[in-house]
Parts: sequence; structure tokens; C-alpha cells
Amino acid sequence: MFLSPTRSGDRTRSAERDTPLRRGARVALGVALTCGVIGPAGADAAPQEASRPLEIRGAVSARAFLEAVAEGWEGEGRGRVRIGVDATSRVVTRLEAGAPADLLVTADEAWMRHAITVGLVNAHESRPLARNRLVLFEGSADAADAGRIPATPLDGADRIASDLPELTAEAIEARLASVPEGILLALAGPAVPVGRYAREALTSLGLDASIPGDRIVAAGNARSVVHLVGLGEIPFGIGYATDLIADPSVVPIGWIPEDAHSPAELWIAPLRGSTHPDTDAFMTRLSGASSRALLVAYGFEPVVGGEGSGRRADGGGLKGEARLVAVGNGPRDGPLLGPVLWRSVVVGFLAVLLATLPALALGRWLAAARRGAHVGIRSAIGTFLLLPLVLPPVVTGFLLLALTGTSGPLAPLLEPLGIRISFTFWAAVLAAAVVGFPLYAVVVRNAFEGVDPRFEELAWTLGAPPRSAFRRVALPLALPGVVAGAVLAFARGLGEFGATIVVAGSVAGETQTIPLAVYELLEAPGGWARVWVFVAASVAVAAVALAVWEWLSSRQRARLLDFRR
Amino acid sequence: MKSPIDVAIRLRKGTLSLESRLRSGAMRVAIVGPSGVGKTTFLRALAGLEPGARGRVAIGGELWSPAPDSGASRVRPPWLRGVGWMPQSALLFPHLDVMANLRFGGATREAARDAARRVECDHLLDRRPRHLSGGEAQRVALARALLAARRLLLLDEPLAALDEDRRARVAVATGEWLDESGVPLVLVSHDAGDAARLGCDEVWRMWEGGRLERLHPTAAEGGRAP
Repeated sequence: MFLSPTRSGDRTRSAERDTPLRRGARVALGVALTCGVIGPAGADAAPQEASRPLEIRGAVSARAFLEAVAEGWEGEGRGRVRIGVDATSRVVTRLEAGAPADLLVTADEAWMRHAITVGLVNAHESRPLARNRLVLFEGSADAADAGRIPATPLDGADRIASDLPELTAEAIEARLASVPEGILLALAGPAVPVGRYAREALTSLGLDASIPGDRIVAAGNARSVVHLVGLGEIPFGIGYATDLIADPSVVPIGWIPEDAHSPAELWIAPLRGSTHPDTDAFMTRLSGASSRALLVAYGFEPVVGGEGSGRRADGGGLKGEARLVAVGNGPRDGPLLGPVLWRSVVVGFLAVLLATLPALALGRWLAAARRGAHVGIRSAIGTFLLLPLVLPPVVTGFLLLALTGTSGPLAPLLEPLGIRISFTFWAAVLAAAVVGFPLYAVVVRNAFEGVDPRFEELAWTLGAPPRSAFRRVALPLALPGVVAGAVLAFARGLGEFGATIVVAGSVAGETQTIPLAVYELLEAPGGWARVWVFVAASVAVAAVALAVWEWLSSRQRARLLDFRR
Repeated sequence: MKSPIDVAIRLRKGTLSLESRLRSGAMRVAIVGPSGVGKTTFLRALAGLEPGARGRVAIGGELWSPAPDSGASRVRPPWLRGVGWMPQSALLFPHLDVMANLRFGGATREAARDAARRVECDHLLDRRPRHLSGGEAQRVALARALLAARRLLLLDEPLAALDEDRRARVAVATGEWLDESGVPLVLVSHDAGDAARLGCDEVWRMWEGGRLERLHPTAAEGGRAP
């Protein structure tokens, strides 16, 4: 499955298809999808054009279908195909940044139009392929219920389609009212097609007031919405019907009215920069009859006469054009510098508060361990406690989610108290604290190591017992170093991304800190201009923190002089 | 009368191995010897700062550390011994001014001022240690040790950083203070002259392995003036 979070967009089509997974694997999957980082696409493209694989980049919702088509293609010995998927917004912005590929599949027309505008594809070569539908869904009460698992995608399509009700605004509102407070709904980010469709629908159904932004978790892409709900972390989600097929962890509640949002269409186009000889042939294959059967099997509705229908993504002959919203310009506002910066500072500050006592205790203990007995054993234990310093933050985030999530071992303790950590503001604080803590502890250790132990011994002989000697001598002497550690942990907390995105998600007005806001803006066209504001703020805060740290460090050195030298 | 100083300890610390006996009826004892034999470590053991030290430490009739086979009470921790320990480097608390250093052990302002005056550092009371010269810091450290020494004064090369004139005056002042308080002194120095200046009754020489041997008064350039 999705073994590596950093390569989810660059995997080959030979990976397994979505089958029911064990819970642990699904957590990893959720992590992989939530982070959804694409590696350099086609980095190993060989100079011999014919022998290199055909590179397809596209929407994650099209993955199963694309893999099925590619399987047939390869089965005929027509050459290898490599499929990289992620949220359409990310796929397109990466291609725009110069990633090489041959074929583009988007989950909406708006991003295809953007690709045309920036010169990635030719308007006359783009065409709609199939239509998808949005459903409201919830986590399955009994994920282990084998009866729900469809044997084939086609059965799964039946599961979605058979007597699923069309939802009205009132019906949605009534259903969501069962969770009166806290995180309510998972949607993909506002720049991601399925996220934009869902937001359009909520707005046009008049539900914006009853579902405020701080109750919505913005997931990385269409699949991660399903997985977050499937994990039981978030009560409801709105996503593609096709993504619910073959996933027993979620149960559809009903259709989102199709006229409440722009048509959810899959679009395909060859990339202008493609040099692969089979690009056009594969385009034809995707529009052909065999593909149409596969589309149906995977729950899509093929666009009638997709090939040669005359419809192009430049708007010519397009019905319902007025409903199209420019990409990344959803009904909800993007991140604003003021609140995001303020929230980052508060998160960093609270994280430092949370980490201070443990960092002091560990730092002091490590300093003592270095000169005391059993140095080897004690420093080995200490090193283990510093592990988050070198652990990939995403892994730390995963461990935190596994620990504090709704199905984690701490849930039975926290739930009766009404405490919810994952995907709340406090998860962002926790992530920043855990990631900043080892850095803090190391600086504290160095500060205490710099204090001659004889100062404390002298305090003992002057009548001060160890605790009092620590408070009156060792702590004040190490204080500038301790504060320097706090400043460093604060700066690290401000920049925390990997662990935060996993355990806290990107919830506008709740967990969105500077790095998360930057990441969201990066995949919104026109976001680059606004990113600079955040970049400037980030650099400024980091520079100030570093200057303070440097000043405190020199204070620490000066502080330890016991006579003029 | 019980001996003011009655010590028989064993101690291993890294490559250093000590086995030292010091039983003396004198009130002021000096230990001389080459560097590295363990004089400083012996002094630290008397202050209770060497957790590896085993054996009897009795000062002024009080048992601070019982002999291993006595089954007596536990080792008294340093903060309950009432020793004034002046280590080789002054070790003034860098974050406190001179007055706060002197009063760290609970001395009154008046007592601190008096001790400072005796060792000629009462003009430095509001200075921070980093603004003191090496000699000034040493005198402040001596005053601090005097104030803390309710039962025993331990001086480790206390006059090393002082010039010749001041060395004599400070030594005399320290001797006067010892006479008034009746507290025994253990001095460590590689300079037998310091023992004379501080009026030590006995001079012991420490050999390799910590063995202590009492020297005749003549060998230590004269005993205490009558």
C-alpha cells in the first residue's frame, strides 16, 4: 500500500488496489494522504524516450480507474505506465513548477482551465471524461462487518447507488446536529476540487452558518477525507462517491444535490511538454469504449461522447459556465496573516510552557548523568528520550495521533472528561511541544553542564540542602541557557509542520499556523503572491528568535565568570 | 579531652586511591605535600562532598561519619556539618554580589560586614564577582568560609593569590578569628610557609596513597608562636 508518506504521488501502478486494510495500515494511509507530498515526478526519466514509462499525473479520485486502464495497456505489451496521484491542485501546481509528465487528469474543469491558461496543455486537446458525485458519509459503526465489503468495484458501485437518498439542506442539517460541538466535518482543502465542490454546495444550500469553519478539518485530498472519517477521527465527511467504493470503514448517508455545486468532472489532456510517443494513443484509450466500462465499474458516469464531443476546457460551448468558480477562490476566505501569526505565536508559547518542566528535568538529569556513575546506561536512556529530535516529524505526529486519537489508548481516559485532542488547537500545541521538547532539553543540558558542580557543593556546605542549592545556585546560573532553550523550542514550534498536519490537520481558525497556511496557499493559484507575506513574517519571527537566542547564549557564558580574568 | 580532629577514611575516585588517618589534638592542622596526592580530595571528604569516602570522621567529639564496622548512625550530609570550605578556586557565586555571597549561609549583615573587614574586602561588598581580581575573590571566599565555619574550617591554598604583605595580614586576621570562635582548622597547602603564617600547631605530610605522616615542628619551619 502507501508505504511512504513522501512518495504517495510517485508510486507505480503496480501497487495494490484499495482493499480493506487493517486499522494500523489505514492510519498510516491516512497519514500518507493527509500529508500527500509528491516527490520529483519522473526524476528517473531515461534519455531513450521509447523505453521510459508514460508518466500520468492526476487526481487521486481517478487512481483506481487509471490503474485499471494502465493494467490493460501494459498487459498488451504497449509499454510501462507510471501513475502519480494527489489532489488536483497539487498535481497542477507541481507541473506548473516544471515537473515533467505526459498526461494530466484533473478532477474539475477549473483546474484544467488553469492548466491551459498557464500553457501546460492545449485547450483543443482537453476533454471531459466522466462525472462523479458527492456524498455525505460517516464512519462505519462496525468496520469489521465483512458483509459490507464488496467483492468487486461494480458491487461497490451498487452499494453506493442503491436507494441512497438525495439530501436536502434540512436533512443535512438534521444529520449533522447529532454532533453538537467540536470537530464535525472533513472536507478536502478549498483549492482541491472535491473540497471546492463541497464548499460550494454548503454555501448554496445555506449551511455556512450552521457549519462554521472552525468545525471543518481541511484534509489533503479526496482520499484523505474518507480515511479521516473512516478512522473515526471526524464524524462526517463530504467526498466522492467513487472513493467510498470498496471502503468498508465509511457508510454513505446520502447524495449531495448535484445542482448545488459545479459539475464534478474528470478532465484529461496531454501535456504540451510531453515527448512520449504513446501520449496520444493513451489519450484515445482513456476515451475509448473499454475505458468507459471501467469508469462505470469504478462508479463514474462517463460523459456521453467524451471524445470528439466538442467540449473544451477553454469554455467554448460550455453549459452552466456561470456556475464555474475560479480555482482556489472558494466561498470561504483563505488564511489571513494576522490571526494565523497570532495563533502561531500562542501555539509556540503554550508549547514552550508545556515542555518547560519536562525539558528542565531531563536536561538537568542528562547533565548529571554525564558526570555521574553508570554514564553509559544513563546517557543511553537520555538519548532515547531525545528521539523526537531526529525522528521525522510526520512519524512523531503519527505516534501522537495513534496515542491521542479517538481510538487511541488515551481515549478511554480523555473521553469521559470531554477532552478531545486530535484535530483541535491543543493537538497543534501538543505537536509543537513534543517536537520542540528535545531541542529544549539539549540546550538545558548544555546550560547545566556549563555550571561547575562545585558551586552546588559549596552551597551545600553553606547549609543549603540539594533542592534549595539547585533553586538558589544551579538554576539561576543556568537560567540564560534555559531561556535560550525555550526560545529555540518556541521557534521550532512556530515552524512545526509535519507532526501538526497529521495530528491536528489544517482547521481554519483552529489549528492553522504559519507553515500550514503557507502550504495551503502554495496549492492555490495566485496563492504565491500571498505566500510572500507569510514568508516575510516567518523569516522575521525566526530572525528575532535566533538573535534573542544568540544574545542569551552570550549572557550565559558571561554569567559564569566568578572573577575577572 | 576528645581530639578535635579524628579521621580514618578510605576512598577511591578514578585513578586516585586514598587511605588516610589523621588523629590530632591540635586545633590547627596543616597538610602539605606534592600536587596530585589527594590533599584536596581529603579536604572534600571532611566536608562530606566525597560520597565514595568510607570510614570515621569525628570533629570536636561529633561523629559525622561512622567507621564501617561500628554500626552507628548514618553519614551526616554536608549541609548539616557546619563546615567553612574554601576551595582552591574561589568559586564565588557569579550571579550574587559580594554581600549576598557572604550571607548565603544565613549570616547577618553585620556579621558579614565584620568578616569582610577582617580580611580586607569590606570595600567590595556591592561588587559582582566578575569585577573582582583573583586576590579579591580569594579574600571574599575566605570571609564566606569563616562565616560558615561553625564546627570546622577547611582551607585549600587560601593565600595563593595574595601578595606578600596582604598574605601575612590576612593570615593573622584568620588566626584571630579562629582563636575567638574556637573552631578547628584543617589547612591544605603545598607551601609550608602558609602553615606557619596561619599558626598551625601540627604539620602533616601526605604521601602517595594518602598516608599522612606528622612532621617535626622544625621540619615545617617552626610551630605556632607561643
